[in-house]
Amino acid sequence: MLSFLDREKSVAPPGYSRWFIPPAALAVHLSIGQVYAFSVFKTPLVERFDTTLTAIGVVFSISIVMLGLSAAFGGKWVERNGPRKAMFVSGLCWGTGFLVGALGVATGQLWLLYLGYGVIGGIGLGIGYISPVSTLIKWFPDRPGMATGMAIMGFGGGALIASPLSAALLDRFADTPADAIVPAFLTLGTVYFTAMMLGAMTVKVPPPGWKPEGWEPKPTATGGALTTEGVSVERAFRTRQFWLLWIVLFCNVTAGIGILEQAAPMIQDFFAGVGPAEAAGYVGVLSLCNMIGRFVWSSTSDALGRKRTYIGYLGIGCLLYLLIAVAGTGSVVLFVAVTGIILSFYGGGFSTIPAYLKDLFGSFNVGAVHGRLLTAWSCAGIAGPLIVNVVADHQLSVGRSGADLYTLSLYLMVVVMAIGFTANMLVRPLSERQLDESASDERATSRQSA
Amino acid sequence: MEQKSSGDLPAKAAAVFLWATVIIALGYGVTQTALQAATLFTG
Repeated sequence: MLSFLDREKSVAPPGYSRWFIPPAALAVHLSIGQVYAFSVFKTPLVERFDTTLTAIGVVFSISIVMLGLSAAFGGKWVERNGPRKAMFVSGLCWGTGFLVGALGVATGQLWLLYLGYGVIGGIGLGIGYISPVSTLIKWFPDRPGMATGMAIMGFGGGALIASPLSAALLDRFADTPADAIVPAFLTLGTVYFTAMMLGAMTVKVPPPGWKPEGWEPKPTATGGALTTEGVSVERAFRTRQFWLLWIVLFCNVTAGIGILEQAAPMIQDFFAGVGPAEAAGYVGVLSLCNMIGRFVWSSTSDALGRKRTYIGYLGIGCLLYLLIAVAGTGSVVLFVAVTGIILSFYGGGFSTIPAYLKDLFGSFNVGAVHGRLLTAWSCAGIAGPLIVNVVADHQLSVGRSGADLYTLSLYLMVVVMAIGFTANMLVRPLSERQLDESASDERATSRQSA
Repeated sequence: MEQKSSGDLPAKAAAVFLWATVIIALGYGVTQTALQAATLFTG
């Protein structure tokens, strides 16, 4: 009955323009990007459930944990079943998450909110995040950084859309935000479900052997094997290169969270003249830089090369963190500019990594490998805020105040960036031996299934 | 030689509609955020 979702039914006909594909990816990522605007609902939910910020904060944490788990374990399923089925499942989960969450809010059952937005929605997040990546890389093998940059820019953009939209819905639907949560959730769930289904219906995979007109894959030192076969996710998972990139992503994300987690209070502590309204404006600047960096830096990596791009993210990022630690209080403009660049590198780090994985492991299983690598994001999502908050609490307890509250965590982020920089410098293409092992894995799998 | 397929007109139309929707949605988000960001410099 649902055979139209099968990969075979989504193959593009001859002459189909690849530029019809990115909006499908963007529709999914703009929808699931709402998760980073969940904080708009935090205070109304605290009031509605008459509970604590921590209890409501758990909803977001569950969704991010489920994102990591479903991306890691669902990657192979996504590769096998194709983007259409994956986007369909993602849209179903993401929309259902809002419905079940709304039911929880309406009936005063917090566990239903955990289950709905957290678990079901979180599965939609993970499957949705990786669903278009592999397909875009196959359609744009000549510009994989630009292609994945477009999609993953959508994840950053999703929060920019959802934040004012959610605030407007909470203001419009009832006299108090707490009473407006249910209709707001229902509206968002319906809108996102519709957008993601449209994306699922319009996405197509390239026909076998398709390549852009006039483009030939660059011969690799090992004979071009990566462009046609690719490395299995199990084999990639056991390589040094995978774990070095894991460290790279972990460090880049942790360092970005080092700013994001404390952006509003930090700028107010650095500069006495900056109040809450300006601090909210500063958070807006960081969001824009995060989104723009995802597209701009990832597209630049097509020309610069992935390794050099990450040398920039981590090397320049390290120096910029040092600049903030040493001279951050000198000027608001300098502070905003420097932290804005760091946040653009944070975004760029997310969107460039699939292209880096494609360079190393080939495009055939890149979605599944990417899903496994996103566990670095989940870990950084725990480690980053932990580092920042533990240090801030300690500095408060020893009587520090103002910009001095952050000095130690800024220096720690310099160290984190330096570790990531070192890991990136150690990345090398797969050796002949690693590729031979992968090829014999593939032959053994073919013999078993014959 | 590439052949154009008219049978995929609905899919192409849907993709064009999605492009327009995505651009408008992003434009809304970027504009709203830029207005908020401006308060950092205007107070």
